[in-house]
Amino acid sequence: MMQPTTKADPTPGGLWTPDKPLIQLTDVHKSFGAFEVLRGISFDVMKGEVVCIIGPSGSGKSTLIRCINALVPIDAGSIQVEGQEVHDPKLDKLALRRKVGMVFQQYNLFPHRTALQNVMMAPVHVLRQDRDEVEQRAHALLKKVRLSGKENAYPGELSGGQQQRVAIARALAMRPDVMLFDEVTAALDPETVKEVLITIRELVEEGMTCMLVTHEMGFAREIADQVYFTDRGVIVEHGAPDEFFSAPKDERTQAFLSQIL
Amino acid sequence: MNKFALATLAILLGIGHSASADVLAKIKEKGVLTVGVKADYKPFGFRDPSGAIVGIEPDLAADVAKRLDVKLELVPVISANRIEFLQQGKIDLMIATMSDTPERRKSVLGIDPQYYSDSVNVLMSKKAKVASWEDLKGKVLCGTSGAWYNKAVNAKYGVEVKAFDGSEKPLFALKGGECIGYLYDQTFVQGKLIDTEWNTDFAMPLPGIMEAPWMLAVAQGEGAFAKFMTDTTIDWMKTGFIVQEETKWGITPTAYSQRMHDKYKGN
Amino acid sequence: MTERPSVPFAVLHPYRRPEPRPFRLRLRLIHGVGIAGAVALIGGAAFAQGGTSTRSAFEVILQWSPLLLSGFLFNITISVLAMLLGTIAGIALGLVLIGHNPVTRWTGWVFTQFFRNSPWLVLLFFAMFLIPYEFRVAGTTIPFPDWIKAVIGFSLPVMANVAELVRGAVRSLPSGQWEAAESLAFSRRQTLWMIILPQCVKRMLPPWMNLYSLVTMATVQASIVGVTEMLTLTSQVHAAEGGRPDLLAPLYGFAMLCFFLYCYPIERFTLYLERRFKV
Repeated sequence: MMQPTTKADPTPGGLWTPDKPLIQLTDVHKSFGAFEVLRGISFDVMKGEVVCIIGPSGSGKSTLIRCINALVPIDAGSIQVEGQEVHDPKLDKLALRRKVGMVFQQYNLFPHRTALQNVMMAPVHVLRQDRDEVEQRAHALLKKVRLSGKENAYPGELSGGQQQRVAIARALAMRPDVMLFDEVTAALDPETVKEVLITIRELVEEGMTCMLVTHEMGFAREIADQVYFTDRGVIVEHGAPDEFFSAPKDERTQAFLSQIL
Repeated sequence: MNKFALATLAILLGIGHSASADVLAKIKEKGVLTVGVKADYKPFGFRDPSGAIVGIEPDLAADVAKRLDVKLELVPVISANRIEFLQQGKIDLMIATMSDTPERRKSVLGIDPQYYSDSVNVLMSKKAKVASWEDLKGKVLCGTSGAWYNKAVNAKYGVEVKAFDGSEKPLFALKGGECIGYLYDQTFVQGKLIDTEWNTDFAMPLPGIMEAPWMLAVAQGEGAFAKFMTDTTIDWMKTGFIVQEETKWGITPTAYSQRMHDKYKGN
Repeated sequence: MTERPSVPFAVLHPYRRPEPRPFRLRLRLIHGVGIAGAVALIGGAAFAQGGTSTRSAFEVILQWSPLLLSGFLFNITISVLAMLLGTIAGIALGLVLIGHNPVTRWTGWVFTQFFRNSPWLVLLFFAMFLIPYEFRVAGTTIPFPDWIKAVIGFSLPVMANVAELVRGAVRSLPSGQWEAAESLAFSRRQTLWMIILPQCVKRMLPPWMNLYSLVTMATVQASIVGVTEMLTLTSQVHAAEGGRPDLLAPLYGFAMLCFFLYCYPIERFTLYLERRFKV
């Protein structure tokens, strides 16, 4: 197994500066019962960087991304976000989660609230920000994801692509430093995939640090700074997209890419 | 654990009731006498269309309240809960068609003399030519299974008793002509005969036999109230109040009531 | 909107009006009650009119109906209060059942199973004979009449059933709702009250109304422990009318009809909601 990146020095005293990795994984292990899903994953994500994780189903990609905002606890190793250990039991999860936005495959919008309310809920109730100010921002965010006019629609009244864009706006409303996307287009039908990808690309263009688990190879090649290929709980290969897609070195990568492309 | 569950538990574990030692004082203090009466036994205690409980026993209760100069509150009771109510203190006095038995005397304080008496009698078809119990020999009567006197009547008078469950079925059988009469509690038979439904074709030609006295009851340990009720009962017998009540509510005065009236009026 | 991806979570689908379904006569227990009541009432009344000297069953019921209906109203009162009390307690118990603390969760589970699997009548007897008829609190006496005890007696099984409904509804929600809430930094309490429970209401409503219907019909059991509700009054009215055997069917038929007329619309509305929220 190759070592994906050179390890930066562990940040002393939790002081983090933008020149250090925004997300830093060191030898992360995770098992569900007897099944070891993550078998020593290490990599860094720098501020402004866009990282795509690809790999066959069941290779632990979704688990990996969920570990980063502590939705799933890890068994061994370390995950730091802006120098803060995520799996420290004393961690202020609120502080972590306002830094890390997450978008899911199944959108997971709150179906009993309108699009606008979905976007507003967390800033108002969790961050206790001023409602009027949040509402203005929510309108702006919905406009940004091209959903002006759908403010009062319930998730059930929106298409999959529209719901997913509300979900992106909802995550952005917390003003995160990094966005995690977990196969966000996998449940969409082909026509609506594009509108979601456009939204993500705009985010990337604005300089948002992004980590995507995706099957959209073309999209990954287009926007990623680094592509990681995972299989059976380890990172098999990584590299800049042009190099990675045109000349994969490992035969498992080659097999996977030939299947999917 | 949730609060309601705890509260319920606390209740179930019995924040008990305090049995007051002197119920007479309590009645006077509250200004209310609470009496348990039947609401399903015509004419002793039953509903009128307004919902009020009326009959012989409510009248007796009203007289007790008048003597105590307090208001009366009637609580409908059934056989299953009347003793419980008295023990709990929910009712001060029970006038609820309760037969006097040694077992009951252990649970409550029965009042002597017994205020009334039931006996065994027959709701007889008018077509049957029966003038005495002896005339029943070889005839068929309907009865309620489990009644203690079925066997005794059969042995003594040689009448066949065809037993049914409850009191509705034998009445049906009687109407259907399966028997010439219904052997049952006299008070029940008298209750039936108030209504035209029954008194056109049926009658109670025989004298009651095997008297089973009813008792008033107060809670154990209420000696003062019991004494008051004994005096009251004797006064009712003396003045003939119970006989008047029977007449008022349309039943023939029983032999017991007459006898007690005769016994006490001389004094 | 055209074809939609197959999303496993129905709550995420837009509401679509269900296809108009062909009318089908579905006989359920509740219909049986209504039909039996009507037959008994009409048949019994016709039979009773055969007699000449006695009043017809119809006249009898008409005369006593204010009293009988007041009794019925009492049944409704008991059922509504039992449901109210039971639901509040049941939600609390349900939250214990889905809680994190294993000790309280286990205790709650025992509690729930005990009250769910006891005959209602037995619980009613317990409530009747174990709760004192009055309380003395700080010198004042608070009376605790039988019907309130009946309310408590019925609220116990309601509590256990509602707790199970809450637990089931919470479990039936996709885990993504919890994940999404967690990733937005909602606390567990906020997640429950703002995100999970509001969605459960919809799922719980039809079975909850079904439960209410059952409670209403069960309130007649209170007659066994001496509460003067409709069935008690019906038997007392029957006694007051001299216990005419021919009045039995019409009088009890009237009681059945009252319950039917009350419960049937609830049943229909429940069916409508079930179809409306169909998963």
